[in-house]
Amino acid sequence: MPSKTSPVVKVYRLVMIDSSDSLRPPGFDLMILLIATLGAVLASIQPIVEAHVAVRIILDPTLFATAIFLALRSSAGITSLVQSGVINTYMSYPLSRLGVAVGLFLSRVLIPAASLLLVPLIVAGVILWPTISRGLDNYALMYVAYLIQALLYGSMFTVIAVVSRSPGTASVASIAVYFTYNVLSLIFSVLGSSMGVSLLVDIGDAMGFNYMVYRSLLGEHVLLWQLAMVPILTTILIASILTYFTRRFEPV
Amino acid sequence: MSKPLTLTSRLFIVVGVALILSGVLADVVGAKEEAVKKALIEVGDRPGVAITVFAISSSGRASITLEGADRIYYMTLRGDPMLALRQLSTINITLENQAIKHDFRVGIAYGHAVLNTNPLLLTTLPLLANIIPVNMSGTPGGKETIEARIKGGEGLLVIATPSDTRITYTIEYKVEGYKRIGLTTTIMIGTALIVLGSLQAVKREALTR
Repeated sequence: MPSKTSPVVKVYRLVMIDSSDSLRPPGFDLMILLIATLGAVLASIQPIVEAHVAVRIILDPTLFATAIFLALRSSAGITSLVQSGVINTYMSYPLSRLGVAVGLFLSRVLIPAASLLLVPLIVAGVILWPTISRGLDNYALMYVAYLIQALLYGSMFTVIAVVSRSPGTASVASIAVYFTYNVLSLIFSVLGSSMGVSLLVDIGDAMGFNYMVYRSLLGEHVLLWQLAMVPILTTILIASILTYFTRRFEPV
Repeated sequence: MSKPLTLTSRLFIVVGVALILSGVLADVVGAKEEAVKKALIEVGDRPGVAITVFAISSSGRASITLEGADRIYYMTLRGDPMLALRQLSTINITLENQAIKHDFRVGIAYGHAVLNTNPLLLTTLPLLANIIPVNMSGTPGGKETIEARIKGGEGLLVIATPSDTRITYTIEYKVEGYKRIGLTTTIMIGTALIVLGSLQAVKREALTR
């Protein structure tokens, strides 16, 4: 008799089961404790009076830690599921391949990235409440901007994971791609400035969505395509992951 | 066998511990609401000195009290005043014995430099830029105070000609618009979160027995 449980509930169950591995203690707990404590200390060392400035000070180093976490636990984690055969158990669950792919993306990328970026903001938000409460909308907007940037990295890493299916290759290639992306952004900006090609500078700046949102909150002129570039890239990458996993992925 | 903690319990406990730790650290090394800085400048035979306060990350009220000055000029400007002063080398005003310090806990950079130039050139400064001459209230060399409110990214620049061979100054800076909650409140919220997280775990343990 076919199961009457809704696919959404099934995805939720899969996410809960897989999260117990991707967010397993004590590594995740220790990491979140350190980034939350140090992020809040960084924000309270200087008398910051603007909420979005506080977010930038807290989340710039946290985004780096989040990217490394996603490379190790998400990218290498997905490939470990393949190598250990656990992915076959997931796929034997009466759920479409698309459902499994969505569940894995949520538990391996979205939930870890959202938690790692949110907890330091909660801790700093409590300590600096009299200042932060004056700009809660900007505080939330900057959080979303950093989350989208982290999702871009997570999506890149997941593409590498589902294509390579090897934990070693996936983690090393993910860190290499992260490094390349950030250095390319810097090279575009520096070359563009020195050669007087503003398009290169604009592309280099647009590669950091969090930076573009921050600049627009400061009242600086930001082009629409610069704001749209990272969200569009992220959407394309997520669509590629879901399509590849649904049509071509071989779980053996 | 005891059940592992749920993600919610773990998050409550971790946020609670992080709050207490960062609250204590913020209390020990966190931002201050005011600072007082004093210094003595040996001017020698040079015709003037510049004293600057630059608000890097904070906004506040800066006051500079000088002793030993003959004439005083001041201005507030966007950007670091010391960087602006370096541009004056094009009109033959060079900086010597620069001493720049940062106090991140009040979010300022402050310092002084001795100006090497033609003395007459300093008296023409109000013609060159938006520099305001101070009406000296007391005797030359007595105490004079200049006050200005500066926002983040703005600076206060004071230029003075000495009445003798040395000038002493005191910078008082009061941060405006910054506040954080007290250590006791932070510890109370942190403890409450740890207790909540632990209670959830205890309740789950009891339900599964």
